[in-house]
Amino acid sequence: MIGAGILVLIVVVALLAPVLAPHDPYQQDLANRLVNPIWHADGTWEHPLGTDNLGRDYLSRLMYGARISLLIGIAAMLISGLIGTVLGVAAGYFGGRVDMIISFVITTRLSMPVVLVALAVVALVGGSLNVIIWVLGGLIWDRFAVVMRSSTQQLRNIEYISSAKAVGCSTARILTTELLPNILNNLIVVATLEIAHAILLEAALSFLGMGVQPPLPSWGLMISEGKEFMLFMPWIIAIPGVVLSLLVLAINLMGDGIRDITAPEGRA
Amino acid sequence: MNTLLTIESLYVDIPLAAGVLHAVRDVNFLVRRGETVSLVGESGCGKSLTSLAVMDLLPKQATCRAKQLVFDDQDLDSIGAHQMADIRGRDMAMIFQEPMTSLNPCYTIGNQLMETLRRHTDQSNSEARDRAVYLLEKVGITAAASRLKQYPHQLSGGLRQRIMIAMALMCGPSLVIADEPTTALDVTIQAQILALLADLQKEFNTGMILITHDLGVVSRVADRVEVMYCGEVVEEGSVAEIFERPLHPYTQGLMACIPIPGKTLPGKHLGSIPGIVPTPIGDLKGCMFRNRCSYVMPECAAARNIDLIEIAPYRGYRCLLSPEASSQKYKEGGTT
Amino acid sequence: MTAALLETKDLTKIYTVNRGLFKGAQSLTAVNGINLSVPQGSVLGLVGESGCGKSTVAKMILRLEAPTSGQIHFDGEDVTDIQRKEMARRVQPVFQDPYASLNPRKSIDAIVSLPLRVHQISDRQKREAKLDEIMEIVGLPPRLRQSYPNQLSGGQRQRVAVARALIMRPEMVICDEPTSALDVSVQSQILNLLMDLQRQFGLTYLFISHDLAVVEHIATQVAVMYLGRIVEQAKTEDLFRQPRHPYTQALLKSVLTPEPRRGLPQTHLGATYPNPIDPPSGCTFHPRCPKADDQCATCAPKPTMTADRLVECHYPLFS
Repeated sequence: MIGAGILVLIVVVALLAPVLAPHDPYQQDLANRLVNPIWHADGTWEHPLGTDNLGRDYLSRLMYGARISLLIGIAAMLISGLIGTVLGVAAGYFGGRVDMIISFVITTRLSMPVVLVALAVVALVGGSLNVIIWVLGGLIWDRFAVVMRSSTQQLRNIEYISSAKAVGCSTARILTTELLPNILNNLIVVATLEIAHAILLEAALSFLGMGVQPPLPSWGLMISEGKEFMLFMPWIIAIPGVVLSLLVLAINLMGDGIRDITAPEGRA
Repeated sequence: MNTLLTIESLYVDIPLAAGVLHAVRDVNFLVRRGETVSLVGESGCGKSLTSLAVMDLLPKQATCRAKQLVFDDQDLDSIGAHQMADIRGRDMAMIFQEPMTSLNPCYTIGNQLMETLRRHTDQSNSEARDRAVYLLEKVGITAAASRLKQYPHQLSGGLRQRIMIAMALMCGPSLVIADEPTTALDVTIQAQILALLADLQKEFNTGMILITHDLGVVSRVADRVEVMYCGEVVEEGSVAEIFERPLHPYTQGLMACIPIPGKTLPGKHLGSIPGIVPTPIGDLKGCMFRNRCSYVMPECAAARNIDLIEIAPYRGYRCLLSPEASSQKYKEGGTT
Repeated sequence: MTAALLETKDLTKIYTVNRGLFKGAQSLTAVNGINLSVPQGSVLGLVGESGCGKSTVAKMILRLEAPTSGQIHFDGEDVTDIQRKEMARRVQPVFQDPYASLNPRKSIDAIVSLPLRVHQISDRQKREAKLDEIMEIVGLPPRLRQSYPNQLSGGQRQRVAVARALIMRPEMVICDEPTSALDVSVQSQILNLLMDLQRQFGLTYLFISHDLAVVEHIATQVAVMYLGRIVEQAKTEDLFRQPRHPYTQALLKSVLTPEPRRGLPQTHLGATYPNPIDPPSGCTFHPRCPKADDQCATCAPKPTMTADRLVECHYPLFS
């Protein structure tokens, strides 16, 4: 519940960023660089969280940054979810050769270090929001595949699926109307976890300079840009760091909550 | 003292979201040494919970109270958890239904058998092992010494259940509670396991509580029967009395439901009890069987509590009909 | 004699089982050459203990598993020549577990109407009419159509399974232990229902069960299976009055009828049920048979047909 609350807050802020942000996050104001946030002696309400090294309002950047994080998180989750679910369900339901091949693909993917592969791709193709979304989406589907595969295997021989087969249902119909609704709660839990995963990965990549490119206000990028001033202006990296942690925490808590709500329902 | 276990006015309540589930209400019976008392009933009647209450193994949310719960002259209500843990396994043992999951797959048979003995007594490893081999042979397992090294997954269901029985007897308990011990086993093994239990009981003079839904098993093995429905004992008596002259409409109904090769006419309708078991939640009034009973009268709903009428020592039933009226109706038309 | 609706010839199913890293693959013969013949309008009881292969036979008839060898003929035609959907219209199952045979995420309405939608019985009105009709036939109140399986009792769920099986008016119903998971008082309700429906619609049943008392009550013919083979088959009264195969005798003796003064039966069965991966040589029953001799250990008996009776034993009992 707490998780959902925090998440809703962040989502609302992200959605309404253009309305709420006091300044344009891209507008540089070199005269006002590195202003301290309000809890310092010389902070002002003009820039409640201070400004960064190019004079851009931090609060506004934070709010717009939320959009980027959420966008990347959700988009990557959707892409990886689709890939992983299709592979996992196919492997679990058909078994045999299909399962062997797909399991091999999953194992191959698991043996790859995600960050390094992402770095390599970005180095080749160049970093941008789109590239990051597709690269992450194409890499983090493994948990989906594994969970969907085992869930499907558990249900593959259950009597209501056998009955559907005996009634004459086509495989496609069985998979979509009989099987999928029953593995949905597992899917949702993995999906929420992968949103968090994608967000953290993007932050890491951006921090390394291989993710979203400046001047986009990605939180990871903000941390990276602020690391030179880390020692005497810790708030520059602390603030995006804290918000990032809060977002990930919120998503995980919500995932737990969803699991708790959906699990007992299946117990009649 | 010949009486091993005395239960008087046992109640078990489980708080649920919809209200308090009165899972066991006013259960009274006793078990003597060398005797088998059977708790019979269908799912949800409270028979398993009754035995768990005796062993103090109820789920955390459940509350249990009894006027008297005396085992071997010890008041189980007043002793602490530690003492109860000592009694469990040593003086009172339980055999569970599922032989496939009752044994820990990570440990050998020998390990699990000896663990019980070493937990409760001071005997050494070799003494424990000797006792294990002795009991395995008693339960009809050949090459007992080599079996000690085997793991549960290497054995069939029938063998595992025999090992469960041996495990229950390791410390020489005076009371054995068997909860559906043969339900998960094949029919040809069932008779063997039941015969084994009967023989061991005679030899060690243990008392036994046999919990089952199978009336056939009860009729062949039990001395006395407590028929349970929806948390209450609705009829009790010796096995001959219950089967030859059932007094409670539910017992009569159950008898009529069972197909007996050679007795029930093939192709004809079996007796049945219409409706489903009510859930005993919240404020309960009147007879819990009234919505399925074919002799129901207005008084059945109005009465606050229907008490167990004792027509003879250890023979009673919970119904407003007189014994004569009940027998008469049973002879006349059955309960279809 | 009425024509056989279902016939199997030498039906066999062999599974390959992986025995672990160092033991390699082994074959498990679940069904070993079964010849069944179910006349139209009759009830064939298929009895046996766990591991005998009776459920595998059911799955093969329902086309859920492909036989390794042998043929299945339905109404004279080889089933491999019949379209899957056509088979589905004519043969339907009722399974054992009422809690697993209904999709927990679908309403009763959706579950029972699935066959209608799959076979495209178009008309909305016609579907509604059929649904109402079948609910009444199986004894379920129409208000339950909107409920979900977890709101129903075991007996009600089994009625829903029966409704789903019968809504297309199939010719044959494969009942795989339909009452074993139910309470005694509910069992008799469902059995009565199944018997009524069989008479009302002239259905043919393959009734699979381990409960001999139930089979004796509902079946016209009984086939006893042991480790993948049919060891005895006869008309119900004949089999129960005079079992010829030692296993059938032991099975019948093991049935514990509620008769208080009879004590426990001595079945003289000896060792435990064999592992289907490693079956005994010769007659697979010989390690447990009180009458086995050397011939039984080396030579598998051939089935012998005598006056409507099939027995597979070197020394069938004649008492």
